[in-house]
Amino acid sequence: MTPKTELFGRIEDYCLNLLDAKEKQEFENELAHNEELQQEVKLHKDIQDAVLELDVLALKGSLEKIQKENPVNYSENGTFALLEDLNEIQELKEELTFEELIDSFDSLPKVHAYQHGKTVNENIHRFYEEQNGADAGEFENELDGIELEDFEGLEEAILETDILNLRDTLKQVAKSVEPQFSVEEIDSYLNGELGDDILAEFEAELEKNQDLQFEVNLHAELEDAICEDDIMNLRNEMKNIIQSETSWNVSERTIEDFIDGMLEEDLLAEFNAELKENTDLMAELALREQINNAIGETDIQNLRAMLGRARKESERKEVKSIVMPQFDLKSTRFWRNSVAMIIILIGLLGALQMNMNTAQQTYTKYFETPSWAAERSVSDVNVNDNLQEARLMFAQSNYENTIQILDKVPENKDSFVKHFYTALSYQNLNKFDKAIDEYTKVIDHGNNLFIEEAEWYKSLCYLKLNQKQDAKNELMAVIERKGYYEKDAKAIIRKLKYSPE
Amino acid sequence: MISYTDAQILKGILRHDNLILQYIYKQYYYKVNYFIKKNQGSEDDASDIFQEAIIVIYRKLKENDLIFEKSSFQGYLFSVCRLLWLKQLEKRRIEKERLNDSLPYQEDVYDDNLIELVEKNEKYGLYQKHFKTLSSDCQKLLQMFFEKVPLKEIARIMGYKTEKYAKTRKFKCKELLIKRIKQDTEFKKILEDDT
Repeated sequence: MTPKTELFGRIEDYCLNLLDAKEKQEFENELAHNEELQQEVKLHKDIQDAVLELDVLALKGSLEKIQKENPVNYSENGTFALLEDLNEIQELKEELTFEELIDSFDSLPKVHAYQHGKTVNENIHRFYEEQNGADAGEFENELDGIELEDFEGLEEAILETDILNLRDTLKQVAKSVEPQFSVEEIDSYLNGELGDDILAEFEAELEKNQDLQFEVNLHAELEDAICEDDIMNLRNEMKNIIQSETSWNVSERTIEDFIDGMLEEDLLAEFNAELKENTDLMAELALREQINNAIGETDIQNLRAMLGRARKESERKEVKSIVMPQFDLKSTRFWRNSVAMIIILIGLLGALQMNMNTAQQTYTKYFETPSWAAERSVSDVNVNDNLQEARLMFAQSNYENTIQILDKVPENKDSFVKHFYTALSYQNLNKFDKAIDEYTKVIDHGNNLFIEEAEWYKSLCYLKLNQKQDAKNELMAVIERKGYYEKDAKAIIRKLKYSPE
Repeated sequence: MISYTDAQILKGILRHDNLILQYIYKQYYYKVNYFIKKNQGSEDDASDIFQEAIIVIYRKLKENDLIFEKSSFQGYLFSVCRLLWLKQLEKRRIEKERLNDSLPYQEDVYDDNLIELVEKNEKYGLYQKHFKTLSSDCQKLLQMFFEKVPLKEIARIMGYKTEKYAKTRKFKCKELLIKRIKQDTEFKKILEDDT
């Protein structure tokens, strides 16, 4: 075996062409068969060539010298100082034309600097900045103070080759179980858009690959499911009904009659049968009975009324003495009296609160003038000039004129429009009796789209007139219709039960 | 209260008649609710089961596959509700043997077609639930694609510059939908049932 030093000597001699003809022949014979030798020779030649690039080396040396003599101050944004000379030009114009740059002094370096400035924020630039030796040096300096031993377990972690291998294997496995065909390809297949070559490949795979069959099925089913608009609508409708409707099969009146013990035998048996299983009905019944019990507490109501009167009287009485009596803050009697006063005041506030919930307040809360909607009548009433004019007046809240104009509209099968807006106008003018008469005409007509509203507004008129029983009757009719005002009507009925007669 | 014949009820379901649906709810829901609560279910379970039973009946009607020979609408509805709840109990690994059978059901209703339809309804219901969780844009886009609206028209309606973008967006939406479905534990249970 040839020692390494001797071998290197021979290679060097060969590369520098210092071997005689025989030695060269021998060397070349060996070179032809020995791969290791070939590599060594190549390396030597490369080193030799690199060393021989004297001009490059000289240039590198000069540059290093210049760098040492003129340390570069990198500006904050990473541009060269050369760019600063461009300030004058940039002041003249925000964007420079290429000609302007060429014509300027030292144009080519400036073109470079200009472009450099423009691209300073680009990622690629940042990338090269990161490669900058200065930064790397800085990072190394930062690491200087840190001992690797400080990272407990780092060495052990690096040495856990089995774990590292397992992680790689798992990645590979995960990759292998990923769907081989994308959503796009499966879709294209289902839509018959796959090219012939891919289609053949896809179908071959589909035949033997259960996962792919599953994916394709899922896509196809999804398509069907999404197209089921009707099912989705029906589901929504059912959801709304379940959320908004009561789940009992008896009317409000039946529940009230049951509580009052007025249900006839057949109805009672039916009611009891449902009550046995319908938990919602049980809850409703319990609530109504509790309300009745609360209303039945006449002693409490009397006390409340007394407190109300006391409050009114105290408001009427003049303050006779302007000199405040002397209080002994240490006296227990004073404190007892004060506490008693506070309790009475709280009671008075409660009574005041109850009074707020009177029929009048309820009316104000619920009455809202609707806008004109004559188009709900059966025939085309819009052509009627008087109705047009009345609509205008109504929109301007000029209710007296609205009534006068509507009065001129002749009676016909669509008169409910006329009566409805006349009623609303009267109601806005606080002429509730007249409004009730007009609403009754609309309701009696029996076949129009204003009936529910007429019943609603009529009940509010009764409320304003403090005719609670009449109001309740109308509200019950509104509830039975199960329309837009059902919830409000229920709320008012409950309020009426709580408010004193 | 007005009562409807079975034929009127079925027609009402077919045209999604709100009055009829309300009638069905008021007439029968409490019994289903009672049955489910007696058998380890909740109020929410009851409303879900009731709703899905109506959907199953609607699917049957659409396929012209609903004729009451021995049964009535009420019997059929209760039988479907019972079947749906039994399936739920099975999924929840709850013993079915101790069932408190308060619902008057009919055994002959349970044929293979109904079982198959119930399974389809369950699967499709899940897909539709996730579809509804997508952005409205995604929903609209997918729906138009599946209804075979031309790509150019879709791009115009959705305000996309190119047809290619519409297609890419569609794939993104569908990918998201499929991901959500696959992540759903209910879906995994359905798959277990299938196998």
